[in-house]
Amino acid sequence: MRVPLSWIKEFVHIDERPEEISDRLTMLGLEVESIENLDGDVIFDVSITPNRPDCLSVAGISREIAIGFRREFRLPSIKRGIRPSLSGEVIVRNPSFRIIIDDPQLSGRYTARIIKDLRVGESPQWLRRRLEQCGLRSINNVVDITNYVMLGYGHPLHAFDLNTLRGRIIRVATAGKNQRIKTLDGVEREVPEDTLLIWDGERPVAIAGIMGGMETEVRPDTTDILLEAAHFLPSSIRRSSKRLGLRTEASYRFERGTDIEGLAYCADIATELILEICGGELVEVIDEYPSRFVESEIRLRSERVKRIIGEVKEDEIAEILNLLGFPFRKEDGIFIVKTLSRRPDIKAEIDLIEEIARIRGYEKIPLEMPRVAMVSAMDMGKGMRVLRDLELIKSILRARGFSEAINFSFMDIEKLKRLGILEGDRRLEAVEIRNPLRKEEAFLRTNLLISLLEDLITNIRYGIKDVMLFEISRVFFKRSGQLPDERLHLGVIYWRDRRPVLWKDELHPYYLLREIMDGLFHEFRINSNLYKASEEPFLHPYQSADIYISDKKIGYLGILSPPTCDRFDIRTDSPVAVLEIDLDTLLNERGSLPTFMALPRFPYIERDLAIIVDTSLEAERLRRIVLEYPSELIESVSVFDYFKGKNIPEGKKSIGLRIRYRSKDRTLTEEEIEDLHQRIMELLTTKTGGLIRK
Amino acid sequence: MLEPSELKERFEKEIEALSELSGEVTVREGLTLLKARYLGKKGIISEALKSLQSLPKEERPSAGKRINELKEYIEKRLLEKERELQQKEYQRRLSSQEIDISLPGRLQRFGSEHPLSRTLREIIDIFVSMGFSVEEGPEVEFDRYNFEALNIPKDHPARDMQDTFYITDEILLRTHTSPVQIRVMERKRPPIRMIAPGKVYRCDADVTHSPMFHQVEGLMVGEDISMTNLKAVLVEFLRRLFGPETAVRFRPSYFPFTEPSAEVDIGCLFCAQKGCRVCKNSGWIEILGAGMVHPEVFRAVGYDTERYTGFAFGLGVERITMLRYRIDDIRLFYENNLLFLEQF
Repeated sequence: MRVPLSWIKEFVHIDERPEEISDRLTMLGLEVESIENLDGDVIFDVSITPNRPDCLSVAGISREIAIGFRREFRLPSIKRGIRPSLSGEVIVRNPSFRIIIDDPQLSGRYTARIIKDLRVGESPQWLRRRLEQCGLRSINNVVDITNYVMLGYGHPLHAFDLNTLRGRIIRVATAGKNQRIKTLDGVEREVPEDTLLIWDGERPVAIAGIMGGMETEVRPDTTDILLEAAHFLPSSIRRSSKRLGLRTEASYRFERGTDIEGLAYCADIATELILEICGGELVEVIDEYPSRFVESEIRLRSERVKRIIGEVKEDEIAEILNLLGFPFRKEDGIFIVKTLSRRPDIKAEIDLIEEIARIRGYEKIPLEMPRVAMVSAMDMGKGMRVLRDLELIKSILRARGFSEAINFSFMDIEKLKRLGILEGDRRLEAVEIRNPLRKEEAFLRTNLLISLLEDLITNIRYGIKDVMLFEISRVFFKRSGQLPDERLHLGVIYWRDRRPVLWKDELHPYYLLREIMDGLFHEFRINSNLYKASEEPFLHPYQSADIYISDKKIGYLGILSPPTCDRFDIRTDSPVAVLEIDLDTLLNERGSLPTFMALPRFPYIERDLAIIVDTSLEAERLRRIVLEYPSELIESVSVFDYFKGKNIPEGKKSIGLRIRYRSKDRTLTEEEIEDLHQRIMELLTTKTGGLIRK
Repeated sequence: MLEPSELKERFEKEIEALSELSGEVTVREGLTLLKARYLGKKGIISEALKSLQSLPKEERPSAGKRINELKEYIEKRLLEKERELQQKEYQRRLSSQEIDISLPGRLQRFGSEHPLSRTLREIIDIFVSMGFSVEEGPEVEFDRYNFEALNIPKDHPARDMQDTFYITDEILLRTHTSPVQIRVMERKRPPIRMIAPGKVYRCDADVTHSPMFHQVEGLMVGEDISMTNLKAVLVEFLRRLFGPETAVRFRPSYFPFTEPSAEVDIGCLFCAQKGCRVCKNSGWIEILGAGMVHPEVFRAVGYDTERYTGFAFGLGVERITMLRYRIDDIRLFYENNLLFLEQF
């Protein structure tokens, strides 16, 4: 809200520098965003929090300044013969207009002042300047005065051309079905059913609290007006304003709460100005006030004040209540404070405690470390354990050269189709956002791959030749009638442009990511992991694996298929390696703490064998066959050789296994092992149809 | 027979001559030859000892002594020469194994921690060291947890402070990490001391606003928690994060779920509070929001508002990170350009 210093000075005597005023306001919770020097005046731009509708005017802000500097705050008094309306009394016994309020909940008060024989014209210079300083443009003297009073004193007003109103009735009622009205801005609007409207005897003439109707607006030839000052239920105005997509200075104030008592004063100020500037005569004041403001009492206990903001002396509490203008008395050491119609935000004890803290200044609250018991280690929160695990995984990846990426949780669902993901795949069960910023961000991610591919493209565009990124983020799967299933995923992408490098690295990128995966399984003591040829449609069918723990698929790793690269416009001859797993599952499957086994006291014997099997047979399966052989002498099995091509038939491969034999209680002899080794080789050939190489 | 002194001179010449030979093999051969000539069974020293017989009896002891001294000397010199030779051979073998120690290792890229993760980690570490637990909550939330239980009913103007992405009427993307407060309080009784880091969403996008960003929520509830504690804990936190000299100020603000509410500022890091572009000439930078938990929030989770008091705070990780590294565009955080990421 823009507030000119010259206007503030009409309410409070203040000589302080603008910076001092600004600081004081900011420290009172009215943050000054900027101070602008404009034509010899100073304009403060004050940001008003939604709880302070009383500060949406120059007078309101001036009142705070007066409190802040402990000065007197002066409101101009009403002159001429219009004062009686202040008390809500009508000055005409038989009004020429009838005001009907359908629902006193929605509109608690409606006042009308009828002014006749005025002249609509240009506003005087001072008035135009004030409006411009505050960011409004001048329309004509009558409208300008209603705006001036709203800016100056806080209550929105509306002037109708009296002679366009039909039936000598003003009715406040909701729209009902299929209602249309053409508003001041020239737009014909269809209004939702429960929108509160102002009607004359025949038709709607304004959208209550939001905007007047075009047909009844004040025009250059208007001579008689009906000046409206009314109260409307804030939530009703807010709902209507939102639905209509129409926000005005008036609706902004009404939806935050206006002063039902103070509105008459504002109408009087406006009337006074109209009579002064536009001429004319006030002939009637009508005040329909079915929901009278009833002040309530708040019990404010000083020991409660102490518990919330530290000790404050009772004298100081009393002084602050006086400064704020709250009437109070003391009963049994408790402050009984009356509420004020202009401060709808002060309803309960805690609201007053905040006011006390605010007016004293937060800097008066001392610093004191809490005295607390230790938190049970069992109760450190699930988040802590997960964080520790993630730190570990992240440092493993960083040590291998991968940098951490963070992408938006949104995705373009079209891209899933580009990956060839088919109907029935869970990744298509995405959560849709109703009001996305862009249509490419209309769904929540069900995978990290798409984002990482976009990151790859960004980096290639920047000329980066080795792209190594990972991301750990949640993905979301739709569940009807409840919150989505949020799963923590790990995604990794690796791409290196083919060009000479210092150290030749012959390792195929599949194995580079595989190492990471094997490392994670090791770290979390999972040994039921398995890699099977991948069924993902976007991966290279012969260079990719799906990753399993027992028989549960947790993700995949491998090389993007050439058509996938084409579809995503990744132009490269070098393989793009990707990995994505469900980390929640991985972490849940973690193995228990190992039990120590005594170190071996006797030497081992190692034997190698090579077996020719189908290329599709997983090396891991060969290992398992050996490990599952019922002999205590088998200590470990590793794959030490892999060979294809020369001397090996088409569709076959040779796998070299190294078996380590050891006994717990004696030194093994070669002869003893020879027999066992033979039987293992026989088992391998019968189970796999393979052939032992000599 | 020559005098021992003459012999010594001759030996010295011969052993020095070895150094002029080229090739270690010849040197080694020369050394063997020299050793045999002087110390061998029929070597010069043996001969000299034998020739003692021909001397008069009284001269023998002293002549013998001199010969023995000469023998020791020769042995010592030969050994030295032998060692020298070994050393040379050893040096030659190692030098043939020379690698270029000026070349870098195989890893061409070094993984970086995302600057947001780094800030988040530091924030979490500080609070954990003060005994706060770390909690989690869903990123897709019920309206009830995100707003209503936090004293923000439907049609409340405070909803304008946070532009919300909606999934359905009742389900939305959380606009802050505050719903985790509610979930934790529903689950357990005080005392509570927790933080909840995580992603939050608002439909807003420009140089300083991102539709997704990170917050850390904090909550402390007990029978005796006041705003004096709130101030002490947050000042401690900010000084640990930004340095022990950091100026901190609390000023009144408004959040529907806290009362009194405070905006917390730190003295501008860029201009020593003299006023600059970053702090809009105020000398202060807004860093987090905080306040005493509103009694309505306690009511929503069934806590006795007379018995328990507490404070809550929320801070934006992006903002702190931008300040610490002087990053001027929030979008850089999510572009994942390695030219950016590898600076951290």
